[in-house]
Amino acid sequence: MSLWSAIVIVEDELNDFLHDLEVITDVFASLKCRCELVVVANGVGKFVEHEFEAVGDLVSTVTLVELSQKATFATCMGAALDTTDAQALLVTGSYQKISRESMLDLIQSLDAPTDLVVPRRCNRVDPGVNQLQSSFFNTVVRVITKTPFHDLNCNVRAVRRKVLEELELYGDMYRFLPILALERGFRVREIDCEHHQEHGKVGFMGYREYAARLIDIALLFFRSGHSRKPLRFFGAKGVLFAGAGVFVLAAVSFGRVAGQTALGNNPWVILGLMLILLGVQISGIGLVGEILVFTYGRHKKDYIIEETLGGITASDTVRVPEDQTFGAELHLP
Amino acid sequence: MQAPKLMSIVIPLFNEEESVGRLVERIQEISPKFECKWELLLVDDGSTDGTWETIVELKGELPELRGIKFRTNRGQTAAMVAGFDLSRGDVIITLDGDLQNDPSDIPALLKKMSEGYDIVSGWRRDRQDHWSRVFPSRVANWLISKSTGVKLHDYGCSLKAYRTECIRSIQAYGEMHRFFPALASMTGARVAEIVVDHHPRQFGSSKYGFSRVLKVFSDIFAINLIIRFSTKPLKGFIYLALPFGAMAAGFWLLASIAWLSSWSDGKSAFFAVIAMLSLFGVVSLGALGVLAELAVITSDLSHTRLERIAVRVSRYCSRGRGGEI
Repeated sequence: MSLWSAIVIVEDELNDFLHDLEVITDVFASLKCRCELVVVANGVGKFVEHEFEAVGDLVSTVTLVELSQKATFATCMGAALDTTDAQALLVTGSYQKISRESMLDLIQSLDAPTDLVVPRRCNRVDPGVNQLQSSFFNTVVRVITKTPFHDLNCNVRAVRRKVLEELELYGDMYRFLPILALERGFRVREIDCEHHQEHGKVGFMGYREYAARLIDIALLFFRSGHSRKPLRFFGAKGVLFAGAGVFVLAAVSFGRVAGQTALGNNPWVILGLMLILLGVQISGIGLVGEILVFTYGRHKKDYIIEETLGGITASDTVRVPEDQTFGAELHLP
Repeated sequence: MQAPKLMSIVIPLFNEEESVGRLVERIQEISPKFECKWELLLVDDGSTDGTWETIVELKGELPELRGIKFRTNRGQTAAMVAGFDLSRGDVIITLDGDLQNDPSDIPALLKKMSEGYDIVSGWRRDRQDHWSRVFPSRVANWLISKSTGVKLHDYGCSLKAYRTECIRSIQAYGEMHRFFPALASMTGARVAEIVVDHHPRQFGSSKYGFSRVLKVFSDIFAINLIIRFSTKPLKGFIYLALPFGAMAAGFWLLASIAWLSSWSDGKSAFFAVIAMLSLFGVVSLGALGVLAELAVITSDLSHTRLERIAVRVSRYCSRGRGGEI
């Protein structure tokens, strides 16, 4: 029997909390899989402790990780990962989002070649306005990242440990775990799952939430293609703006020479100069980015090895004897 | 300089199942001329054809062959770096996997390296590519040579020989493989160039298009920046800010003259606005420079030091006889 770990990240104080834990242990019992339960109390430590004490005899042994203040999902994941050695993980949130049968399917779908299984909630039970917003968000992300995922908002995932260890999630990046995993060459599957229940805001989510999602999308876009060569991204835009500024100033100058326009008090001169400034600023930011990557990011490997042949190991490096030097000779008087 | 004890041949491959077999055959034919032990590292850079399967088959016929398979396509630089990291030789030879480079040039590279060089680069003097690839390549080579001071005719030739410790010290990333000789100059490496053969592509198609030209020119600018200013970025940004500083001074002067001489309405204010905008440019570029300098200061400064083995100190005694320390 393989060892699984079910990581339940609790952020809300909901009545069905213990029942949902029972469902998870029941699912693993029916699959005859060993499963250790890790509950991460994300700012709701007192609630979880109270629930466990009230029950008296828990369904199974639970590791409780209490975070004293609310942290991101990625931080909670990291804290939970430190407490378990399981190589396969089921990650869920505060309540059961997908049906018991779908949870079974999710776990069973993490078979040999697959590294991450994500659900796509069908027959949704949340209000139409929420579904519309979710659909719009997922569509925008699919277009920008050219990935096939339809339901990034569902935080239930079945994942291999190596995926989480390699990806180094931070901030709000847990939502985009399937995209980041696909980018790194992991095998990701999306399966249809029955939507069970949904708690949370209805309708308008708040300006901060929308702004946060927009920023996440922009970050994804930047990360996926430009994080190693920022000058290409910023430089291209900078050249565009500066070029437009030069064009405007050239046109105004030409008009002045031809006697058609005056330079003094001409707002086009200011516009041209501002465009050049903007272009130089944007390019300058790209240059700083390039220096940052060169200074701090050179040691990070761009490659991910899947398989080797011929006995290659990580320690396969050669030490060059000290007398085989290279470089400039320095002659001292 | 003594001959290498072990030579590693590193070849990145992307969808080259048709050429890899012939390439390995050519290397085996030439191998008696190597005059040292050798190993062959084939790096499958996320191929979608049968390249890896072909490599596995070839392993059975060639004990010197070792293979690395990437999970996904990561680019030529990443494939070369993986080869550099996992090779066991004290000299590394790289070449393309499309049979355009000729393995029979490897002994000539080694011979040149034995004269005391750390990097020997191939020069495809008689290049067998379409002019649309050759012309931008020549422009790029001229630009890189001129701007970095490391004069090579052909930066784009993959057939190169490296002293292992020299190439590992670069810690390359992105698409830096074209600039290895220029980057190596930062560590004090000695670079040479020899003429090598170039053959037309026999199988498959080139993986590069016009977009690469724009990327290469952007990279040339970035590499120049890194070589010149990675240890003193504030200076680079101050140089960039100088024209704006001159504009600010000039327009302040004009504004003052306009105000003192009572030029027509608004002229003085107009010139003052332009001067302020220019000053904004100076200040923000200066701030970016300070930020970049801070990044360097807070780093471990490893990129600012020559590798210890890059410096050999000789001391001459009073009678003029020298000796190494």
